[in-house]
Amino acid sequence: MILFRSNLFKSAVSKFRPLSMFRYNKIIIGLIIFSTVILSGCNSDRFSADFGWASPILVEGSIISMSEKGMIFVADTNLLPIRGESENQRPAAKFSPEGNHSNCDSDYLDKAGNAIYSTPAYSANSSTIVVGYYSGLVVGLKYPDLSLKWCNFIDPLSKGSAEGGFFSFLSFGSRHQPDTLIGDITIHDELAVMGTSKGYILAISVDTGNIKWCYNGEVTTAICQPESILGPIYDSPLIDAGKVYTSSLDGSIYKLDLYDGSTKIPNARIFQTDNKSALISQPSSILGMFIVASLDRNMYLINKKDGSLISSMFNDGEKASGRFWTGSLVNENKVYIVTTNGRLYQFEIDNSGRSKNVSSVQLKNRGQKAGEDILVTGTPILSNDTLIVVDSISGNIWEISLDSFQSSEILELSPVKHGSDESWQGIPSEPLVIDRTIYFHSSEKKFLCKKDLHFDAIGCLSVTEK
Amino acid sequence: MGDLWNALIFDPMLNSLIILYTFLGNNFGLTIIVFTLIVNIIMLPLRLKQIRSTKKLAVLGPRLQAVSKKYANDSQRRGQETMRIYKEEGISPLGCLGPLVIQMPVWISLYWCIYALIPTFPENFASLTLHMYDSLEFLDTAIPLNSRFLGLDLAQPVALFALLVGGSMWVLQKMSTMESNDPRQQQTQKMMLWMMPFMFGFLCLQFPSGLSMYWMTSNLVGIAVQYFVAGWGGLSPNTNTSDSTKINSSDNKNEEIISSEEEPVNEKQYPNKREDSRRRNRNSSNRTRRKQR
Repeated sequence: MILFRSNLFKSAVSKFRPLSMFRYNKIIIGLIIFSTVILSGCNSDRFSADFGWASPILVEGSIISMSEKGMIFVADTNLLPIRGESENQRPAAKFSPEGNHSNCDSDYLDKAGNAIYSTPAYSANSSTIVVGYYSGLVVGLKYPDLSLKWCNFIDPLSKGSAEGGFFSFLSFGSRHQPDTLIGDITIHDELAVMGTSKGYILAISVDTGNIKWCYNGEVTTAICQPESILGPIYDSPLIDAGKVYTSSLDGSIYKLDLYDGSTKIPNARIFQTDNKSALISQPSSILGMFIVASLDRNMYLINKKDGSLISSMFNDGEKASGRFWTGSLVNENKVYIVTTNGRLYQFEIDNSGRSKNVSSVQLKNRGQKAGEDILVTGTPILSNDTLIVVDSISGNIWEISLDSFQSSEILELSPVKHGSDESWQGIPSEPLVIDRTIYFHSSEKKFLCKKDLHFDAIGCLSVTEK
Repeated sequence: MGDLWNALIFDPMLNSLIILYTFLGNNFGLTIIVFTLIVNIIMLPLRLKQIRSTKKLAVLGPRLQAVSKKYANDSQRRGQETMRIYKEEGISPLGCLGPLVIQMPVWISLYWCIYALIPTFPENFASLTLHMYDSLEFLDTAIPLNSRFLGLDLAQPVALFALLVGGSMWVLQKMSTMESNDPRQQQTQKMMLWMMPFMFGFLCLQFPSGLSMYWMTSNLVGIAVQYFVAGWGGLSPNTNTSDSTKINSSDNKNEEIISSEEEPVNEKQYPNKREDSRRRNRNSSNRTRRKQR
C-alpha cells in the first residue's frame, strides 16, 4: 500500500496516456492492482491468525479458556451463566502474553504470535498450567492466579526471527521460519512433552521451563538443533509406561524414552503407514495394542511393543468412506472414530486384534446449514452413554446414543444451533463436557457454553474490558 | 459465488496439482513448473494472437495517428474510424488482454492452493480435505506436500525469486514493446517497462516462492514464444518498427508513403523528425495536386 501512496506511483499514473499500439494499458494496470490488492489481502489474513483451536480444559473445578490475542482466563464453573443472561461472569483470573513480565524477556512475549492451537496441560503437583502458543512460545502459569512462572521458546531461533523486521525478507535463500506449535501438550512426571510443526519432540520441565531433551533424529539437551528428520506433528504425544509415542504427518509413529528422549530403535520409528500417508492424531491404546487412523482412510492396529502391523481397517483392507483427522475414542474394547466428512464408526476389537461388529452412521448438517459440507476435526467425546461430535465449519453439535449403534440405523441426531441464526459459528476443537453442560471455543473466538443440547449456546464469560 | 469459484477453478487446479505431484516423484517445485507449462500451452493461441495483434498495431500506428489527428475534435468519429481500421486488419483490441485476464484467476487460485497444500496453518490443511475429489483415493497419500525444492522452501518468500521474476519480466516487456514515435508514448512505455517488473518483484517478496516460480516460468515461456514469433524485438539494438508504412487517409483517398529511410535511426533523439517528414510529404503532395489543376 505504501507503493500505491507514493509520489512516484501517483505521478506515473497521472502521466499515463493510452498507447496507440497497446491501448488498454489502463485496464491492464487496473487488473494488476486489483489482483495485488486481493492477494495482499489474502496475505495479511494468512499471517494474522490470533486464535487457534485449543480446547478448554478443566482444572480443579475451574475452566481454563483461551481467547483471541493469546489471553488465558480462569472461569469458575459454579458461577458460569448456563441459561438466561450471558457474559456477565467476569473471569477469576487472566493472563495476557503482552505487556511486561519481570521474570521473562518482554521481547519474547510482545513479539510472539498469539494463536493457541495446542490445548494446554495442567500439573497438579506444581499447580502449573503449561500453555503453548503457535509462535513456539511456551509459558508456565501458576494456578489459580495465572501469574507467569516461566517462559521459553521451542525454537531457539524464534527470538531472532521475531526481531528481523521487514528487511529479513531480503535474504537470498528462504529466511528462517520459526518452529510452530500445533499439537497438544501432555504432562507426565513433571515433564511437559510436545511435538512441533518442524518435527521436534521435546520435553520441558514443568517447574523451570527448561528443555530437558529434544529429539530431531538425535537427542540433544537444553536446546533443539536445526533440521529434524521427523515430519510435522499435529497432536499430543501419548505417554505409556515411561515411553512417548508420537504420530507424525510423515506417516510414522515414533517411540522415545520419557525421561531422556533416548531410543533403541533406529530413527525411533516403530511404524510407518502404507505410502507414508499422514497420521494427524495420536494413537489410542486398546488391549495392549495401538490403534491409529490415517488420512488415506485406513486404520491400523499395531503391536505396542515393536510396532508391527496386526491388522488394517476392517481386517480385509476395506477402507473408510472418508479421511481420518481425529483420534479414536476407546471405551470397553469398542472404538469410536469419525471421518472428516462425518461418517461415525463403531467397532469392537478382539484379543487377536481383529475388528468385528462394524457399524456406522452418517452425520448430517441440519437447520440453516443443511446440505453443506461437514468437516470434523475433533475426536468424539463420551458423556453419560452418549457421544458428542462437533462440526468445525457449521457448528452443528451431534449427540449420539451408544445403544443406537446396535441397530446400525441412522440415529436420531440432535443438531443444534448456538446463538441466533445469524451467528452460526464453527467449533474447531473438542468441547469440554461436564455433567451434560458443554463448553467450547467457537471459530469466532468466543467461549460458549450450553446446559443442554436443546438450549441455545450463550457466551460464558465477559472477557472484554469495560 | 464461492462455491462456483471452488467448483470451476480452485478444486480442479488443486487436484491437478496433487496428481502432478504424485506423478512427478513428490517434487512440488517440478510440479509448479510443469503446471505452468501446461497453463501456458493452453494459452498459447491467445498469446500468439496477442503478439500478432501487437505487431499489427505497431504497423497501424501511423494510420491510427492520422485518424487521431484528423478527428481530434470528434471523439465519436475517431473511435468509429479506429474500430473500422481494427476490423479491416482483423485485430481484436481486447486480444492483448486475454492471457492476462485468464492468468489472474490462475494466480489467485494457485496462491490458495499453495497455502492449502503446504500446511502452514492447520485449518487450511483440514479444509483441504473438503476440496479433494473423493473418487481419487490415491491422492490421499500425497498430502501434505513437501515444499522443499533445491534447498528452498516454496511456502516462504525468497528474495532471489523476486529478482528473477522482475528480471525476466523486464526482458519480456522489453522484447514485446514496439518503438513509438510519440514522446508521450515513449515515456509511458518506459514507465511500464520498469513499473511492471518492480511491482511483480515486490509482490514476490510478500508471497510464497511457489507463486514466484509460476511467474518466473511463465515469463521464460513468454520470452521463448516472443522470440520465435517476433524475434528479439526491443532487445535488439537495431530495431525498426517497420521499413515502410502506408498511411491510408480516407479524407483525400491519396496514399502517402512514408519511408523510414528518411527518418533518423535514433527516433528517441529526434522525436519530431517523423512529423516533419510527414509534413514535407504532405506539402509536396499538395504542390503536385495544385500543379495538376
